[in-house]
Parts: sequence; C-alpha cells; structure tokens
Amino acid sequence: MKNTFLKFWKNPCQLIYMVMVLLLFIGGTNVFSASFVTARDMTGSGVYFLKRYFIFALVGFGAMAVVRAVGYKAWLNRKPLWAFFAVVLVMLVYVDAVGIATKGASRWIYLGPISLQPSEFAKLSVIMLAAKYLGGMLRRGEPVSFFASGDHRYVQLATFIYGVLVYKQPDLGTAAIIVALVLGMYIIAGLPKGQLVAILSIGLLVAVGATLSSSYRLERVQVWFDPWLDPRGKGYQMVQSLLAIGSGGLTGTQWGHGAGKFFYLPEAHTDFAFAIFCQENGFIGAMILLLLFGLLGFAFCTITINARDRRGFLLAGGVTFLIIGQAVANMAMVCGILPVIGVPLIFISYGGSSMFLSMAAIGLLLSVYDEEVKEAEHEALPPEARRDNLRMVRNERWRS
Amino acid sequence: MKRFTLNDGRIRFGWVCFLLLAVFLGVIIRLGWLQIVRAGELRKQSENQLTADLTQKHPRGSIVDRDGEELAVSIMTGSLYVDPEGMSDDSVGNKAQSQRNVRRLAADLLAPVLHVDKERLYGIFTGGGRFVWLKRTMDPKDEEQVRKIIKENKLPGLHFLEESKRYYTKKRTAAQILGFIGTDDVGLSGIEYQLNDVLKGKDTKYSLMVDAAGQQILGSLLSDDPQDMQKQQEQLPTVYLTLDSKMQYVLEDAMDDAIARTQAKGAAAIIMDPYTGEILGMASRPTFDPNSFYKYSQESWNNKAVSMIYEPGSVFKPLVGCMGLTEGIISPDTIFNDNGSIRIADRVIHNWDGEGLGYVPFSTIIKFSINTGMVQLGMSLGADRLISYAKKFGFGSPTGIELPGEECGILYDPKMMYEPDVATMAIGQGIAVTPIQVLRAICAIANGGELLQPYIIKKIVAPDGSIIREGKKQVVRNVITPEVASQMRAMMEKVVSEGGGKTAAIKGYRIAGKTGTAEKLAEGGGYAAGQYIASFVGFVPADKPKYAMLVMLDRPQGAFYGSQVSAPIFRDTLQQILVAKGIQPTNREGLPSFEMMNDAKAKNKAKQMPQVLLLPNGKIKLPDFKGIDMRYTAELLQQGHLRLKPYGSGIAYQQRPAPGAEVAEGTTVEVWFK
Repeated sequence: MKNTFLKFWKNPCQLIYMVMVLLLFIGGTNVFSASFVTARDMTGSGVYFLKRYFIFALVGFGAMAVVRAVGYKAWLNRKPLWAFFAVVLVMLVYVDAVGIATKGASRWIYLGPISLQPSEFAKLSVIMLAAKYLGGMLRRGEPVSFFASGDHRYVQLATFIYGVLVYKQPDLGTAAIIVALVLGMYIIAGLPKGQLVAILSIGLLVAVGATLSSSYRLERVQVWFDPWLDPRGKGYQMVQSLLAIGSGGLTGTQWGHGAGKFFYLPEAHTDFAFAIFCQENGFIGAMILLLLFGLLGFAFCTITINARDRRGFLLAGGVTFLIIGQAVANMAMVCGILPVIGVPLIFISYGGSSMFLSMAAIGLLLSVYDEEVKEAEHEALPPEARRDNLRMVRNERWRS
Repeated sequence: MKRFTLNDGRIRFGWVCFLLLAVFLGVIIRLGWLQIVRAGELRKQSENQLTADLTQKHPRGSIVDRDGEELAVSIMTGSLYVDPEGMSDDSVGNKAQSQRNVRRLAADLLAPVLHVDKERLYGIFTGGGRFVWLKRTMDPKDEEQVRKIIKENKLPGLHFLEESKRYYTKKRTAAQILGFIGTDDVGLSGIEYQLNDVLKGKDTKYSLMVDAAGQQILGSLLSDDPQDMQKQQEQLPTVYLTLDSKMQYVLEDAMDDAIARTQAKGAAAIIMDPYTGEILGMASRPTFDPNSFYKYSQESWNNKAVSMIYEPGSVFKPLVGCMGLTEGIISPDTIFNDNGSIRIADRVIHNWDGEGLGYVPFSTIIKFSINTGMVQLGMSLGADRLISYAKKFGFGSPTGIELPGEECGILYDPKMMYEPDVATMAIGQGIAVTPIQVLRAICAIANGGELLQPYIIKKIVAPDGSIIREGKKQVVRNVITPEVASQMRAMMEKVVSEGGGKTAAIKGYRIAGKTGTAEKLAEGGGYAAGQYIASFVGFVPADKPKYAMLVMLDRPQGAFYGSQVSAPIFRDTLQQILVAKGIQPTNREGLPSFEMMNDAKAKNKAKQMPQVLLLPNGKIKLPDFKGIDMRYTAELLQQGHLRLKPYGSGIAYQQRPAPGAEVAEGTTVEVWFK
C-alpha cells in the first residue's frame, strides 16, 4: 500500500491491536453501564461485571500472546488438537449430563468463581480441526467434497459430535453456528458448488418444514418478522431491544442514562449489550463501533487473503468467520434482522469464555500473519541461503 | 475436473466476506431506520413503558381554631393496591424466577401483615382485573413492612398510592362545625364540605421513571435523583376558625352536662362576639365523633345551631320591645295594664302563671316576660311593622354564616295575618327561627344596633403565609338606634338581676338576658303537647358586652322553662369563660377563682340541680329544696304553679311534702329556712 495518509498502522497486526484496545475500552464502559443495575441487584456491587470483564480481557491478552508465540502450526499438530478435542468433548458431555440430571437447560461448567461455556471451546476446536484437515487436503490437491473420502471425515465427525451435544443442551443457535463455521470453511476449501447449493437448499427446506410443522416455531418466526405481535411474550426481548436502539436516536441518551438495562431488556450486558450501546450512544456511536469492527474485519481479511499456507489460510478464514461473522450475526440479531440466537458480540458482550477463546483465536490468526512474514522474509533471501529442504522439514512434520 | 487452488479459496473467501459485508450494511441501514427514521416513535414507546403516570395526592388542609390550635389535620399514608393481572414474573421479563408462584408467595407473605386470610388474598390475586384495593390508608408501620416484603421478594403488581387520612384531634369537640370527610377526601358536612375546594388538594399528576418491575428508578449511580418529585408535596391552606377551642371545650362540657341533667332530645348553643359577629363557640346535640362519623345517627351530624327551626317564645320579646321603642309607641316607662290574660278576637292569651301585675311600666313587662303587655304592644305595632322589623332583624332569611345546611326560618306574610297571629307573634309564637338568627338579633341590642353578619372562618392562610381570605366584621344594616339598644339592654339586665332570668346571674358581673319557653311545633302543624323548647339568650357584661350566648334545649324532660334549664347552662359556661379570659367583674367581692369554680362545678355535677318536674299525669314532682335560698325556692314552686309557705329565712333545710312527692297544681308546700 503506497498511500500512507491517515494510516496509523504498518501492518494488520498493529491495526488489530489498536482496534482491540479501543473495543475493550468501549466494551468495558458499555458493559459497566449495561450491567450495574443487574450487578447491584445480584451481588450488591455495581462494578462486579466490569471487574470481571477486565480480568477476562487480561487473561485473554495472555492467551493471545502465548498462542501467537507458540504459532498456529504447533497448535495444529495432532496431539494438541485432539487433546483439545477430548477436553471439549468431556466438558460438553458433562454439561449435558448435568442438564439431564437437573431436567433443565445447562450450558455452563461452574469452577469456583469462574464459569466455562464449553460450546465456545467447541467453536474454536472445530475451526482448528477443519483448518488442519481441510488445509491438508487443499495442499495435497485432494478435492474437498462431502462425499469424498479423506481427512475431512475427522472434521465431519467432530462437527457432528459437537453439534449434537450442543443441540442437546439445548442450544440450537450455537449448534447452528458450529455447523455454519465448518460449512464456511468447506466453502473456502473448495466444496463443489453443486453440493453447496444442495446443502443450502436442504437446510432451507428443513428450516421451512420445521417451521411450518410446528405452531410454536411458526409463531417464533412470525414474532421475528414482527415482534409487536406478542410484545409481552415471545416478542418481548426483541421489542425491548428495538425500543432501546430506537430510543437512542441519532446521538443517544448519554452514557449510563439508557433505560433498557433497568430489567427491561433481558441479557442487557451479554448478548444484547449492543442494543444498550446503541441506546446510549445513538446512531453516531453505533457507526463508530461498526467502523471499528469494519477495520477489524479488514485486518482479518488482509491476513487471510495473504496467507499462502493452506492451513494458515483456512485457519485465518475460520477465525474471521468466528469473530467477524459472529459480530455481524449478533448485531443483525439485536436489531432484528436475524432471529434471536445466543451469539455474543466480541468485546462488547460480557462473557468470559467467549472473550478468552476469541482472543486465543485472534492469537492464532496473528501467528498466521507471523508465519507469512517469516515466509516472505525467507523468500527474500538469496536462493543459497534459503535452505528449502530444511523449510520443508519444518513445515511438514514427517508423517507415517 | 479443475483443481481447486488457493486462489480459488481466496475468491470463495472474498464471496463469503462479501456476504458478511452485505449483512453488515444491512445492519447499518437497519440502525439508520430505527435510530433516525423511527427514533421519535420508538423513543415515545420506550418512555411510555418507562414512565409510570402517578397521581400525587396531597394531605388535606388543616382546620385550626383562632389561635392555631389544631382541630382537624391530615397526614399522608399509603394505600396498598394490587394489579392482579400484572402479578407475574413474565410480565416484567424476570426470567430467572419464572418457576415460582408469585401470587401464592405474595398471599402468604402479606396475609399476616394485612390481617387478612391467606386464601382470600390469594383469591383476589387470582381473580383478574387490574386494580383492587387491598388496604387503604395503612398504618405507617405496616406500610413500611409491606414495602420491605415487596422489595425483598421482588413481588410484581403490588403498589402503593399515597392518600390523605384525616384526624380530628379533639374528637367530638365542634363536630358539627368541622363536619367530616368521606372516602377520597371529599368533605361531606360542616366546614369540610363548605371549604372542600380549599382544603382538598388538587391531585398532581406526575410521571416517574420505573424499571421493569415497577420500582422507581432512584438513587441509581448514574441517573438524576428523582426523589425531588416526592418532596414537592404541595402544602395546602390552613383554615382558621373564629372558634376559641377553650371556650368550645367549656361549652361542649356544659352541653354534655345539660343533656345528662335534662334528658333533652337535642340542644344547641352559640357564643358570639356581639361586636364582630365572630362565632366563638358553637355546639349541637346529639353529637358525634367525626373520626368515626358513620357510627352515629344522621341526626347527630346536623348542626342544630344553624339548621333547627323553632318558635323562639319569650326570647323574641326584647326584639318586639325594640320595635315599639324605635317606632316611638312606647318608652321603658310606658304603663301597661296587665290583667293576667288578654282576649284578641277569639283567642285568649294568658301570662305564664295566669296572674296579672296590674299597672306596670314596660320595663317590668320585659323583666317578668308578661304576655299581656307584649300582646298590647304587638297589636299597636301591627302585622306589617312586626314582619318588616322581623325581617330587619334578619329573620326569614339565612344569616349567611359559612356553614352548610342553614335554614331561613318562617315568617308570616303580613297580608295573611289575622289579629291573633299578630298577638302571638309579639310573644314569639307564629314565627320560626334558627338559633343563630336569634343570637344575631340579640347581638344587635348588645352592640348598639348593628345587625352583623355572623362568621366562623377567621382566615384562610396559604402555605407561604399569605392570607387568602379573611373574615371581617360586616354590618348588614343598622336596625335600631344606640339609644333604643341601650334602653333594651337595661331592661334585659333587670331580667337577670331581678326578673325571670335570675338563674343566669353570675356574681360580680352585669348580665343581660332573656329566657324563653316555647311549645314545640309538631311535625304536622300545630303544637306538640308537653314538648317544649327552653332557651336563654344573653350577653355579658351588660353595658359593654364581650360575649353573647344562646342556649336552646329541645324537649327537656321534667323542668322545661328556659330559666330552669337553659339559663344555668349560660351561667356555668360564661362564668368559666369570664374568669379564664380575665374579664374583670364589676364587683370583685367574694368571687371564686377559675380553679375553685372548676372544683365547684365538679361538685355540682354530683348533685343534681333541684327542679320541679311536671309529670305526664298532670302532677308535679317535688325536688329537694335543701341548700337553696328562699327566692329560688319560690321561683321553682312558681314554675310548678305551687304555693310556698316559708318558715324562717336563709337556706332551706326541711320541707313538706317530702322531696320526690307528687303533688297537684296549687298545692302549698312548706319549706323551712335557716
């Protein structure tokens, strides 16, 4: 890029760091504003969630640094990958077992002061698995298709297991996200267009069929289109969200003065924190926030597009889908474009597991960039200094 | 098949990103739509759900006496109501606790505090509707407890409204004057009714920010303190009455006494400042406690002092006398021939005792309340002048005192009056009046001829101290000249010092007055046999009156003459008031102090005043004359148409027939004095 005017960053990593710091600042203040009423009501201290938010942010930064320093290639080795898979599996099974035992919804593992959300781990795990195996197939030139044999069967297996376990929590939304993430990676790994069309058609048909076959689901969908059909029942959360956003107007109600958080808007500081942000900061504030997410997305895409290592490319793509896709999905959900599914908005929504794993995922993405820089530096060397053979060994672990 | 390359992957990635970008742009457009195009509408909706429109009620204004002593005050207490349909956690999006049965929980928690059966409470909670009172004007302690329960358990649908609760601090004192209020702070009677618009605060409508649970958003870290709303509680004007609560107390006490003693069916008494028209005390019997007015009969709510009409009887005579003096028909010394009875057309009018005094001056006619003389005067005045003077004295129309339910009385049309009607009117019959009319007319004599507008509202003071309205002396008209008034005062003074009103005398003071005994008007016209209205009206001191007072007893049992039953009330009441108010007696010698008088009064209570009881069978029951002087004994016997045969002088100590004996009219009673 020749144009350096108004360019505050030399590379996408700097941009990501800058945006992250800004988002953490904005997110922290917003989480505080959105949560102090609930926090005081629950714990007696208005800053409860604010404190935890920044503790998670610090831990997240640590995770990001470690993940980046180790490098994605090491993480994509079979042992750490499947060990991670096993841990997630155990957590999910445990959560489901607790759910069955208590005959209720169960999505969390409580460990003293912290609570873990296994489905968030599953998202990252499935991205890493897909990056490794689909990337391997792509690199080897093997065609990627649902029916082809090959390593992608591991991905399908893991996706299936995660999907079923998360669905059983029950958390249809997160299960759908897991499947969508994998599908997205299949797409960029070369899924034939016919299969893509087919699976989207099937998905659509199933969705429509499921909707029409059940009056409950039909109502949900109707309420999604027009939440005012049932403003005190099924449409309550959506109506409250829209009222919060709309009442913000152009300039917002000032920080702290939004009314949505006074028990009106459920999940005000978690999934619907964006609505509180819009209420208090108005359309202008929302545009600034969207600009930051746009810059973040731009940086992610830059890294992804520039990655030449197939697995790095797929991993970066998956992380982009995870972070930016979820962010877009959350905002669309909060303002009523998409139906309500439990997607957090990274940095804006309060949520320890989500923040920790998102930052770890960004660590992976950054290490893709690092790898690419190393690669570029290596290529810039005179051919005699390259020692390509050594690179091969380093890049491709010897496999039986 | 073409191999899928990394570049193909990048293009695919680009497409997916493009899709995300499309959704992203969709979000921007959607936000613009929500926050710019529909902002106003959504903000309005948001504010609607955020603000609870409440009505701030204000405590009713106080009523106090002339010195600011509280008679009626209000405090604000909470009234608890429930919104049964809003009584569920779903309605406030309170997901976390959706498992509990709010109505059952609320019923269990509130039942002991409200002292209501749990099941009944639960029935109300499950009965639907949006507004049901649970308990109005709660005790502040209970209220606090209920508020705590609601807060701690986050019970939805239970709310308080602040309402005003009235307290009449002096209970029965001045009950009919103050009146009472019904629910919703509406004055139903008395001053409460008359000045309802002044006393009752206008409800202030205001909005409050509330959270989804309906709790006020206040004191929160980041919002402005909306508690100011509550502090703005409007203060209402205070009504100062002309009543003097000390006098009122003495008066009420005397009336209770009188009722106990005479068994009268009703009574009224008024004390008035004869120079200003201020009502200093006013009592009516039967009476009630305004704090719980509904427990008493409706009759007790009536203020007989302004609403009862009756024939004044002899009390009217001084007024007729004034007419004669003003018209120049008579002077105090004009001689009348009293034969004991006088025939007018087909009607014979007797003196009360049937005895004639012969040739006596007019002053004696008044002094002994001689009917024949009054009839002669009345006949010379004629119907037109009698009625027009009666009107000038304020009869036949309401006095305009600020009390509801005032009657105007009845006056003949002079064209319709036959001679006997003229004759009887001269002795206070054939005219119906209210106690307040009589007292006001007598005050005109007391103050030198001014007919005043009686008033009971001294002033209405706004919360900032400014006076909204002030009661002032208002002269309606001058009815008689000061000379005539002075002549009549002299005659009326003789009534008490020498004539028929001696029982009203207070040692050391000059008192002017007039007794009156009238047969009660029957409901269907004519007179009710054996039912009397005994009254006394007078003022003190006679030369420069401070207080004018009227006492009227309706159907006293036993003794029924004004001099027997009403005059002593006048005496007892004013005696205490004069001493308490430091009005110097003309003759200080041997006067009791206020404290001594209270003691004496207490003793008097134990011992019944001797009285001559007229029994239904026409016989007369003799009292115990022990301890009273010869003059009073003679008077008592006279009233019963009995003859006295005295032995010795001084205080009676023995009698024959014995006390309690029933004797026929005309019997001679022997009494020994020493």
